[in-house]
Amino acid sequence: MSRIPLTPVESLTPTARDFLRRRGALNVFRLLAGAPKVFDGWSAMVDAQLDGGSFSPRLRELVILRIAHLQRCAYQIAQHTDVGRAAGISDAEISALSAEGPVPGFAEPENTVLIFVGELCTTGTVTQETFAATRAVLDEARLTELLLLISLYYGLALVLNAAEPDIDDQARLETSP
Amino acid sequence: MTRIGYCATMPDEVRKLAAERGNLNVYRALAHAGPPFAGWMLAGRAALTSKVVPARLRELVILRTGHLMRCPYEIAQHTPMAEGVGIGSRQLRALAADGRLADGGFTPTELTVLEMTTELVTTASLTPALLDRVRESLGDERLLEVLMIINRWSGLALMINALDVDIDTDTHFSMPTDDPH
Repeated sequence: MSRIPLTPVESLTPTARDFLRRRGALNVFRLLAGAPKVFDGWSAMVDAQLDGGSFSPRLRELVILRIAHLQRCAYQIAQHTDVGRAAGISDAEISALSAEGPVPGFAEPENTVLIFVGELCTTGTVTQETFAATRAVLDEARLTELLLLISLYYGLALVLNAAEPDIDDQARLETSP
Repeated sequence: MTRIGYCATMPDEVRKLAAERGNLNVYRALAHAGPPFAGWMLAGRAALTSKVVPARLRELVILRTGHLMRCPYEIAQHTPMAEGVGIGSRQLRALAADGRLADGGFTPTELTVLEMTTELVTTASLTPALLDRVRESLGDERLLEVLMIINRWSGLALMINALDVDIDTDTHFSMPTDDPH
């Protein structure tokens, strides 16, 4: 049970209600909607990443699932295991993303991106070597997009781990516009 | 030195958002991303203009997060902002990663919020009793906004550290307004 009460759907502001209608009536959104002064800005950022990003759904979900495991965020793991499967990530790959150390079995450029994510989330920075290897497979636009994606899910995992909303029974994140 | 070049040609919306916030190096580096960067700036405007969490408490949480995430850029940017809202040198010292929060002379509410920030940023989890203490002093909306501040500035620290963004020398942060137009 969520340690902070969730906002009932009928009490949401019109903008928040529209966001949940488009993206799914997830418990995480009902949790964050309890801070209405910042929720609309935050949800605009989520829309911008999902609709305005250039990553394939598969690469995006690989990154998110890896972060979810590194942050031990049960809520994100539950949501994005299903979203990741729909994006073409196999059960064996999903299992590999929960590895404690290096993640085995991915081809380039996914392997390099997952090393970058792992190092950044566990040490708070990346070595010049890791940065250069990632820059070699991602141009500046995609590298900064990767950072914004990591930033979103790494930070959100902290909120979720603090508040522990229930994992949704049915509702799943809608990633298409 | 910043590990990528700064974005020289920005679409209008992105350019306006970066200019509104003082064209800091971190914005000029991240602006390469285009629409996701614009979305991130909109979320930042909401976080900085909301009056739900007093500016003093916001800056305490940001600085503590910046120290725990070992992000010199965040510390450099937010130390003057903290001083501007009355956070003194003794308190700034206590907020350091190896500082003792108990020595900062913080109010009981501030101390509880900083203890929550410390536990959450360093362990990625939170004891229910500590969350409940913050809930009792802040109420749910302010607690959620504090959690969103920790969310944003811990994630930002990762971006800044990965890019090794140079600390600004000749530009200054400018506070956005909630209705820039």
